[in-house]
Amino acid sequence: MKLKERDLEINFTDAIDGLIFDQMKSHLPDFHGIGEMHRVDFIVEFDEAIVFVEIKDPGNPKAQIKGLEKFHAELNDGTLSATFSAKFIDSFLYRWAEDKITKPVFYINLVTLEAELLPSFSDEIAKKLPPMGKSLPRWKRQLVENCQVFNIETWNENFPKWPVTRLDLTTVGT
Amino acid sequence: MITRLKLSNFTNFSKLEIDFSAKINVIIGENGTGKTHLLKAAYGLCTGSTLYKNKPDISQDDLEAALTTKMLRLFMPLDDKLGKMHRQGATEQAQLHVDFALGQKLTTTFFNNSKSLVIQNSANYKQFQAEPVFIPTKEVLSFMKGFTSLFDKYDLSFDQTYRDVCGFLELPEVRSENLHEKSKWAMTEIEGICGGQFIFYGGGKVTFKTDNAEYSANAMAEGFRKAGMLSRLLETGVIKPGVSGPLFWDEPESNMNPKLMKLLVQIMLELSRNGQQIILATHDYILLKWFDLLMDKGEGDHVLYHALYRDTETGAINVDTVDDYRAIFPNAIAETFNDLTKEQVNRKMGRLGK
Repeated sequence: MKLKERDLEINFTDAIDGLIFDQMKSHLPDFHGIGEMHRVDFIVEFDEAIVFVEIKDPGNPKAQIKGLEKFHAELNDGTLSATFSAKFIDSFLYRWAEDKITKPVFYINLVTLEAELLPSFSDEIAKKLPPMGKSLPRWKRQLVENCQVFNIETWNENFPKWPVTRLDLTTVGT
Repeated sequence: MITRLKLSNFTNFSKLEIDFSAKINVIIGENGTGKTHLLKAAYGLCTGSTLYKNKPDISQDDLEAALTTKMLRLFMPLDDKLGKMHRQGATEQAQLHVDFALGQKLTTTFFNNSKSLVIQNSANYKQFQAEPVFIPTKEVLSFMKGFTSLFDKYDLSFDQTYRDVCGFLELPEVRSENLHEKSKWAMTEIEGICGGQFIFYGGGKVTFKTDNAEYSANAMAEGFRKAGMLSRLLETGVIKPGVSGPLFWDEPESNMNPKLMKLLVQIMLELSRNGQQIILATHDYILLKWFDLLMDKGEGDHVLYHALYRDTETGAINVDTVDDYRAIFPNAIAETFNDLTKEQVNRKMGRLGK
């Protein structure tokens, strides 16, 4: 199953189902319909797992200065990790209400940053997801099994069955 | 200013050639690839300037003897034997060669049974007058008291870089009007971030003074003591942009907090803009990233990254030099971050996606 977010396409070769979760066009399938809720880009189902995917592409050669400045300002002041966290929580609630949370959930993000920034950004998002790094004996299950950020290289290295490609810039949108 | 270093059959280098920037040089590489050896070799070969300064008519024999002692004390080979610095298994002699900016050269050789380095070529070496400085990994302000006399008398387990830098720190400060304006600026910035300044009384006695009180230097954070060393080297004129020889700095990041690191990179860039050559070795991503972010080509900044790596087939240490941090390959530091990413995936995601 191939899913595309602007110039980046991921082929989840072993997926059993998947959707563009943030579909806000009412005439298209899987219309989300609640603009007030934060939304991840994709939700993909596998035999034993559900994977939420959020994509940000500051490394896009076509990225505009203004957009990059906003991205880096949000990365620096913590807004970006808060948004990533909110997207997961709201999407999780939405899928729970759909009765679709039937398997362990993973939050795997593709952000085209330098490899050195990925571990700390992963931790920053994870810290903002319940239970906020606290140990809670009353909880019987994990909200999320793994929350982690990858760039194209580390994604492809770690998930050979889900290759990501940057589409030929001239064919995008065709 | 040193422009090129060539090492053959020396310690773990079979053949290494490295061209230096006149401004900033950052050496990276995994442990065991010889970063510190490279710094020490270059530093040792630059110290002829100090020898000529003390004895302008030094003979070639005496120069060979002095450089041999210097190298032995810098590298501290087993049993103090020069031959132990000859690459194990090498059949040809070890050679160290250095080129300086104004055409001066020095080539020295030795074999595994040599007692002394032999100078093969020292074209205009005498004219290389700029004294180098080496800041070692550990700060010295906490153990300076009595250290130089102990070092000179006893066989201590500190290498010569510690002795040399203590000697430089003990020099009197130059008159304020003779200080480079950027040195003054850097000293003020360091004082601002440390909240006071280190006072050198002589004999290795060092204290830290704020507006209201004076403390033992040992009471201060190690990172501050390290910044204090840089400040003092500027204050004594040992580092004087445009005048002093190369500044070698081994792992500036050790014991530094990341905020102090930004200031140090700003200072190093500013000194380099004013003619100070800097050659440092690091394991630290934050230091590299500050150079990447703060360097300004419009100001004429130039940073060369030299990545040392071991060839997987031959086992030889090679170097790859680039001027963009992102182009470094192999990048031991980035690889470490990738390993972290991989380990988290393996632990938490099992075979998912594989």
